[in-house]
Amino acid sequence: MDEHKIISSDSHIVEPPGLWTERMTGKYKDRAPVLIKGENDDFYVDEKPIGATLGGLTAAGLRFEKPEDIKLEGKITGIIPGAYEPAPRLVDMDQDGIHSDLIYPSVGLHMYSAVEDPALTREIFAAYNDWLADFCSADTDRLKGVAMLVLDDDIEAGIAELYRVAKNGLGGAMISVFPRPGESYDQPRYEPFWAAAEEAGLPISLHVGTNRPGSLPTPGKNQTNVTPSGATRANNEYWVRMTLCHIIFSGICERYPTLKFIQLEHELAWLPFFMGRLDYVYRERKQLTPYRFKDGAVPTDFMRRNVYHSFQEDGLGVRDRDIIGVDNLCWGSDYPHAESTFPRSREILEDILGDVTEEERRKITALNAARLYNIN
Amino acid sequence: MASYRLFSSDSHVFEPPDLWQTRIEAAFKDRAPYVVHEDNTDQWYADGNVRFGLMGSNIQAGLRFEEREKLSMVGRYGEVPVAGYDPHVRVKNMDLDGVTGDVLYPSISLSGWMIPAGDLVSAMFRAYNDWLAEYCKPYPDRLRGLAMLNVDDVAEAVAELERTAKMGLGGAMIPVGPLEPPYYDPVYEPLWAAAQDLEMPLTFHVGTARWWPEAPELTLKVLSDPYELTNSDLRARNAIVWMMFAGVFDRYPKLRVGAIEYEAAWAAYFLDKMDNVYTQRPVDFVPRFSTDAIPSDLFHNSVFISFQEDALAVRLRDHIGINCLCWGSDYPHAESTFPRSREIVAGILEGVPEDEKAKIAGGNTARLFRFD
Repeated sequence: MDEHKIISSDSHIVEPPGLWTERMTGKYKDRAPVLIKGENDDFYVDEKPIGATLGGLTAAGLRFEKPEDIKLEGKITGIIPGAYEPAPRLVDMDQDGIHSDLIYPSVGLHMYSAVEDPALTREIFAAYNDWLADFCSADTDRLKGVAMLVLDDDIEAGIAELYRVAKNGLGGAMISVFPRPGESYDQPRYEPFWAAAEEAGLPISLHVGTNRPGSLPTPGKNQTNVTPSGATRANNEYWVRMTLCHIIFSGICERYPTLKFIQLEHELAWLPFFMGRLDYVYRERKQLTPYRFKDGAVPTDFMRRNVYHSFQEDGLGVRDRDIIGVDNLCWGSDYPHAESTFPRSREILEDILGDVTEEERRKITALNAARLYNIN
Repeated sequence: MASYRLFSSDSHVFEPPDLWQTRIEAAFKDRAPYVVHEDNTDQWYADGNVRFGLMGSNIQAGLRFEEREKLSMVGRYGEVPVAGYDPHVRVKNMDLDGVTGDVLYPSISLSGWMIPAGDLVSAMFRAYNDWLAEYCKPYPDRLRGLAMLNVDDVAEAVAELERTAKMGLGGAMIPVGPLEPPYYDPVYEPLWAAAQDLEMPLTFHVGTARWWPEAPELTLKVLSDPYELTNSDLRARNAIVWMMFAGVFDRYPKLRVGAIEYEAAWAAYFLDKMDNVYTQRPVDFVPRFSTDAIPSDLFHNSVFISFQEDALAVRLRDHIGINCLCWGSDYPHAESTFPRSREIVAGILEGVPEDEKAKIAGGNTARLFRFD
């Protein structure tokens, strides 16, 4: 890798309209997600729109020109070619100075919260994972796909898919940021999955907005409401914080020392406070945290060893990098979504990394992600 | 000797065992809270057999410095610090701890909102407010009691706010999570207007979510569940962001709202995030304010945060807002900085310019609660 080139730890493709209808076979063929055009285009599953927010997925650059025009609804026709074809994408990456992209879905992200039936979700994700492996095969060092997994009722199936995507060359795998309703990731039934993820060597991604149906409380109930409103957006790191609590306090990171997690698109600046709270509760509320770590370790030791953080332009979080851990930060462009730094990534990095040393800058913009994903 | 004065934005009284038996209105006498001397603790009940109130951790000031392993949630009335219910003893202890003024919250009644019956909660709070006003009366320069309000019925809450303002109380607590609807709803408009007119700050203290029918056990989760406890700032943030994006701070610029005992460093990120949502996300997410102000401007004007030992918040003070940060001792609870408040405050404010030290250690609290 050219020493001036950078890696985006959080980029996206946009799924072509025929992805699922062309690839899904067998008994789930009739339930494949299908694009229906109308005033606003959307994908439908079992005759219900999934709310794919095609406008927001395709407006890269608009925030710099006319932010008031950003709309979440939109047409599939507005999508730039680099979102679904490898050749033009590599051109865009060159223009923006990017060596490698870690690639996440767009429409697929919404499937986590929109598709209830776990068996159907599994088939949809498997078809996507196949398409993604094909897409990335154009340049396996520069295009690093992250698979979608659903665990829910069948963790063995999730493990089988994990090994399958690893064999197909994908670089990581995502699970829902919070498990199905009524469960948490510290429960013993998830233990085999952590063991498998460590053995397969794939980092596990926790991306914003990937809750399973029904895991979101309804407004006015327990005060941790998640609804599609501004208020919810402002507090949307709640779910990944709960999951990280479950993972850390239950000792998963101690039992699987080389297992890696990366949390994405929740920005950073909440981490210093959160990490302080983890240690405080562990130290001062022993009766509430019965799992005790060996050799006097504390929660933040595992946060620094096992957990990475992908961010876009959080200047305050960068300022707090000494607390979060400069080896844990991975910048991401979010290309081609509305929030993306494309095509001004280097300019924005110049701004938010203003007082960061050259060595730290290399870590944040390339070396940490290269280490995590074995990029040359 | 430090040049600044300490005002604690978060201290606590301790309700005497006969408070409600002797004071509650006659119609509620049979349902009034009472204490039972149980095998391992003194336990409060109300409305027959509804348990509420924590004894142990509410009376163990200083124990964390000596014998941390003895901290517990159980305790006896014999162990309650006399200062909790005797203002003369409190003021002596404040002198010992180097504290000029205390803003006073309850102890047992903190979990009063978890009692389902709203009429009883209101009656309990009226009796408590009467008792608290008497407790504070001898020391108007040193003690500022905050009323407790049940907001199930907003008109009733407004009436109690007016009554307690006349009695000399200095502000009022409202639950961090109301029964419903959330604080974005117009139904609360008369409360915001009254609090502004009466110059009574409204505060959300940790652990004060209202009971709700679908999952009654959740109301105390923030104190007993390590995951909720680690993330308890989200409760305060939800209350504040609902008010913010509903334009409450825009419409009532003299209303003051405080987040109490959630520590404070979370606010730095929260402010950035609210600004980001307001300025960079689709405009239909958030209605526009009447001026060019963005959320962090309104927050800096309207919101204050009480914290104890959050050194990170002090480091981030320029971002959070130097006028928003209020130190609090939490005396006499287990988390309290008593009797080392001067030493602890000096430690967390080391390297901070003198004028900023004075604001955080007490000046902001004195201004907000009109001590001078």
